[in-house]
Amino acid sequence: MYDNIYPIEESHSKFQFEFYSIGPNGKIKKRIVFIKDIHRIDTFHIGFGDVNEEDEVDDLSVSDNKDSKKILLTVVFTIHQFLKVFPNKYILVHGSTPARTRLYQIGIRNHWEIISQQLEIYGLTKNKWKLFEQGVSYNAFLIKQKIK
Amino acid sequence: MKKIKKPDWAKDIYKIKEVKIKPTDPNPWDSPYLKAKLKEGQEILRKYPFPENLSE
Repeated sequence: MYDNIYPIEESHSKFQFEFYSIGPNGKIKKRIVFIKDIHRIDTFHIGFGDVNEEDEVDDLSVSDNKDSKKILLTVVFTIHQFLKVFPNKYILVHGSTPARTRLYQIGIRNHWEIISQQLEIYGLTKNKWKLFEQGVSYNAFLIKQKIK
Repeated sequence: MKKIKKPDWAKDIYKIKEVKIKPTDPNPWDSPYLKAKLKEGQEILRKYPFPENLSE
């Protein structure tokens, strides 16, 4: 069910967001970081994962807190908030592993009705960037605020 | 404490409770993870650049 998302903390610069996943494995701190690209000023990179004991993002961890839908919608909402502050920018999304990238793709597909209302999604397939389509396998994604 | 305004499109979906402002930002250049993530992303864009007018 998409009844809610997690409460989010944001940094002054709007480049960093944090929230807690709550489930059978306890309370797990998650962090989303948007990283500027000095070579491509219209693009940000996104880092996302659990916050480990060294206060570092760990995007290989599997928290298995039975709340993946809620987490995904929280991340989508955060991207939307970020793009409201930085319109006309692209966000490059790619998983830490091919399996994680596939997971993102499944998440986009499953929440397409919500996501497509506000965001344009492009996928990298066969070495080209194309508008996201259901049923196509992608290696990475570009996300942009939809122009209305 | 600052609350993020709930967007209209999400009014039936999301419940935003509270947002606390963190005092400082971490320096991405102090983070091996962020440096690696940036490098991976830049490599993707170097190999597969996208045009500035991608959305047109």
